[in-house]
Amino acid sequence: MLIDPRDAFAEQGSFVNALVGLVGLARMVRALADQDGHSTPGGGQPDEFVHLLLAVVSLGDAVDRLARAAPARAAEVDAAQPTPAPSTSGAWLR
Amino acid sequence: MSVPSAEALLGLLVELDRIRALAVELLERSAPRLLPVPAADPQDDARTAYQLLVGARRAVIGHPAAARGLHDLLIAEGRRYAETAAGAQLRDTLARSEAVDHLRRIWETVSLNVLDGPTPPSGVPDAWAELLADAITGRGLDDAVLARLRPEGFA
Repeated sequence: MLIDPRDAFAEQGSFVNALVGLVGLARMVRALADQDGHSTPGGGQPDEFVHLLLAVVSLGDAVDRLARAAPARAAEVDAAQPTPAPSTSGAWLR
Repeated sequence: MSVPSAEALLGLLVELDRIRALAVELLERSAPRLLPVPAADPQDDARTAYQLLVGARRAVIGHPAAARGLHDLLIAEGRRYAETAAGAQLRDTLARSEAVDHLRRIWETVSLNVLDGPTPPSGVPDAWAELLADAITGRGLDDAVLARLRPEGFA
């Protein structure tokens, strides 16, 4: 029986999976930027590809802010789970 | 003239999309270089990477107008973010990064640069049409077909 439609949607929602994927990509781009000692000599000009990566970070950060701004209930649910899985779409939607 | 019903128009769109998907599939068979053959016995990681990259290429080549539209939207968002202090700092770091250079090469290989350059009002990038023309002519046009179209005595 469908008791909590949000839970059901959280497990099935491909939209939420896409948001989670976006956050993952944003973290990957930040990890690329954080790699010290692997810079191109002389530096490069920011081209369209760099701006594509920046857009991924910007959108990923926006999704991250959405998740952090979730209602207090989400914090209670997370507190009840000693090992939360923030990378799953269910946890994000809740 | 009677106007088709919404249901009929929807059915037409579905059928057009099915035809588009079939045309892309046939194109990949006609120009095999667009669909590289996977390694004979790939490791799991290699198979996953292959499927991911081929999927990305299919998304770009099969939906050029949509891919270009999304590409332009993302670049606009990236430029907007670069106007902020945090975005500008990240932009400069990424522009210097050797890892980003590697990633750029992967993206250019996968997308074959079909999203770059000018785009007519139809939304389909010129580079996309040029790539497909190159892929087909590079394989070699069947001259027997052209010979039938050529008037006798015509060089």
